[in-house]
Amino acid sequence: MGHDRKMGHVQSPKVYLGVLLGLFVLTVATVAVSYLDLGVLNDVVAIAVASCKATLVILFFMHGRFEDRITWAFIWYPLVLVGLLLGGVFLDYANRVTSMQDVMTPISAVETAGEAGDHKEEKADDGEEQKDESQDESNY
Amino acid sequence: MSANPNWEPGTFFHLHEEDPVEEYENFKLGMWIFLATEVLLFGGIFAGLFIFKYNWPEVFRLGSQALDWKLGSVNTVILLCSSYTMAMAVDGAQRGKNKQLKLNLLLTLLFAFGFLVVKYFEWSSKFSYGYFPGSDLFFSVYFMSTGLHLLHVLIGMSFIGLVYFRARQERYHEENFGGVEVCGLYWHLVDLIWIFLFPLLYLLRH
Amino acid sequence: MSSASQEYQPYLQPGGFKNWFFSVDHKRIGLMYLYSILIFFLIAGLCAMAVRAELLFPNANHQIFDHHGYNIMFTLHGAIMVFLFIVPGIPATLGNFLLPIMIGAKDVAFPRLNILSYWIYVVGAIAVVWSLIGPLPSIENGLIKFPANWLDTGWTFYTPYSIQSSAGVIPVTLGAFILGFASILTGLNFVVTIHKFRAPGMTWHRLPLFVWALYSASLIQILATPIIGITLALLIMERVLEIGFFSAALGGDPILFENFFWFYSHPVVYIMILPAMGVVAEILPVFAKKPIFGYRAIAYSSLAIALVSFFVWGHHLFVSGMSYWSRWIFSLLTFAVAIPTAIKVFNWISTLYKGSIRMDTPMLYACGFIFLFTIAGLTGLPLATLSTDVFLHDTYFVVAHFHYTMQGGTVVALVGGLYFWWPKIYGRMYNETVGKIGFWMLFLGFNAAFMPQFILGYMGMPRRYADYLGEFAELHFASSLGAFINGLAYVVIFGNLLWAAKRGKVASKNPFNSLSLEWTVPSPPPLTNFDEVPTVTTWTYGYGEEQNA
Repeated sequence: MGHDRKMGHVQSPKVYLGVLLGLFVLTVATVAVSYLDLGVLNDVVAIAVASCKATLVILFFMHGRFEDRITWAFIWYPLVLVGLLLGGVFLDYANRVTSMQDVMTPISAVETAGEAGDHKEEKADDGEEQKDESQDESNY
Repeated sequence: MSANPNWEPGTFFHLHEEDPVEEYENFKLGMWIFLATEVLLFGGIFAGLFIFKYNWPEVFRLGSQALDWKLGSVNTVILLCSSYTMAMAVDGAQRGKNKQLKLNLLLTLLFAFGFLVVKYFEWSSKFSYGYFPGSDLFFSVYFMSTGLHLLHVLIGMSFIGLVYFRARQERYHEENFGGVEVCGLYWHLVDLIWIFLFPLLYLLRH
Repeated sequence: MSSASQEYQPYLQPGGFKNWFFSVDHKRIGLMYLYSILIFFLIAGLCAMAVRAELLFPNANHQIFDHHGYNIMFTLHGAIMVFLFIVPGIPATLGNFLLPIMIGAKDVAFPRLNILSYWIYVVGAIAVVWSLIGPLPSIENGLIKFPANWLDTGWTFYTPYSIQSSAGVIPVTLGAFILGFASILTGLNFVVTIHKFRAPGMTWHRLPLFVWALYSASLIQILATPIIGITLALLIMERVLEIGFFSAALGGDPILFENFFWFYSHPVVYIMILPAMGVVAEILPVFAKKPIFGYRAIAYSSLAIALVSFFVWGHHLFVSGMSYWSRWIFSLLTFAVAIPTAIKVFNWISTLYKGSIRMDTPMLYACGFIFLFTIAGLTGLPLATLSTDVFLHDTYFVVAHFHYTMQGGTVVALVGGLYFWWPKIYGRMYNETVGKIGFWMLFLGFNAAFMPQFILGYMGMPRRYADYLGEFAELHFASSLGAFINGLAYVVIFGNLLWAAKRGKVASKNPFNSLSLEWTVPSPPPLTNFDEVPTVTTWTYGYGEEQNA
């Protein structure tokens, strides 16, 4: 029964060499892109290139392309879960009320109406540069 | 493993025989599932990285600039090469070419050692500049992630060493290369983790 | 070799430490796991008794240990129960013993990994116990004083207290980390075994439901445990190196710890309950003499629970300052768990409908499970509802809810499963009368202990408090009395089982007329389970159909 089933798959060594060269090219590409300031796109490109490299390694070096559905389920499922963890935590962080001032504005507004108004203006003026520092305070 | 007559059947040193093809497939599936757990283990640190980067963009920008991307790139190339030689080692085992197997295992070990050397210089230079885990969140993430990765490099190297030892006893051939392939899977995972760590730590300098 | 395998030798022989501790036989490993977890069940149970004794009366006229001692007691109770008893609870014991036999295999896929998992469990257990080593408890002013190095963080190790506490957090978290490995290896072994080692004809839709449940639980064990591993590793690093991940002072976030922690620890409650559901699905059709109702619905709902379990961790953080949208979405997702769970309960009850029911001890436990677990599930809904949870959060309502799940669900099913399969494990019958007495003591004691806690929680009694107001006195007193009966019940239950293992009446191969594969082999089974690989032609639950044929 076991004899008609083959043990593993053999690929041409040229495939391995080609994959290695491809990985080198992608490494150069990702380093090159890091010299450009693309804002958030830098992160996206970095992750996208890394994913391409990972795909190459899984498919060819790890013989992923010969593997069955069960194995692929165990390749995908942890990735989905990491995404879920990130998604869930980010859902929290992106919407979290980081500063108790925001919550308590009405009370402080009643007590010291003038000051509270000034404070708000300050925040708006300083814009992005101040953002880090204000988060700084609130996290402490 | 051959049965040891000093032990009762069904004990650690005296197992039932299994069909080799079945054993090979189970072994491989088992390793793939184990790799899934490894991905999630690193997933926790990656999640931390993204969240702290989101909360403290400035800290991560400065931290990334403080790292030497050239050393990181050298290590990336080294690990990619080691992955290639590991794949060639498996290829050698599959084709029954014991010489190719042993040579490539040695090369893989050599590359892995090179990775450690570069890492040593990298870390010691960071320490000399006063960057430690806990210096700021970027360096905490940096040392935790590369440290955990380093641990995996060491485990992978021991695994490869064991396989090399067995290859010298000519244990592997066309009908029995599961050990080499599974070792290869583990080593490729070490490479995969680095493929993601490298750009996220070294290259996001803006 | 062939002549040796013809001769029947039960797996229990030969004895000796070497032959057991180094055994790769899944049945022996299952038994070793069973006795190991029962030792910790006893220890953690005694902690619970101490907690309830402290709470018998309001502190004004009664105190056994100081308030710090109370923290230590409920922490040890929780941590030991969760990490050392209930997570390996059913899968590593009954699961290990039965899974290969149920699918017609000689052993699990990786027998060596299996014993490795047990050794790792032992190492992890030693690490946890190590945290207790040091000065012994002393008596000061008539109060028991526990040493400062005993863990007092609660089993959840919440930051920032777990970073600041002077207690031995590192050995316990290290122990939990190591125990995680044992759990992963068991799960990995089961998944590969179920995929690859099924006997000819044992298709997925003929698998016993216990196997389906173990498969689902194993998936969670594999995929959730690494997250707690990295979380606890980072917590240890936090204490050693002050890396700041979970420390607000260093820019990190304590809530992140809660997120990571519950990303594992919510799925983990399904590691605890899914195998218990599987046990019940095995017992019910045997004693109702009816095929299980809705086989596929029960099987797939196990997988569905395993899937959904990963989406709901946020409901533990409703009052932690989590964002509005997160709370809203996690509340919604949490209700989704109720669907597959309810599917199971309805199918079990339908299985009983018009069956010719025999109320033997295992069946009592199975029915007790359905009753208690339904209460557990229904009281989960007010906790999933955002608005009511804000009120009920961290009250005794929560404590009662999860004890109904963990004890009323998992432990009741574990004990029921042990009674059901004890004749297979040891080839001897327990005493039926004592078994029934044990069940009723457990059932009544348990309800007396935890039903008042629902009311206490609703009245606003917070959990983890060493003292309470006079208005809670009657309910706390009732709860403590119930807890003592509950504790005493285990003496009867396990006394009966241990007595049966040595002295019980010799059991036949299949005393309950069950149809699944484990009852076709001799009791206790021989080392390789089957003389020849069985071929399966029908599903496991053809009760009643056999009489027509």
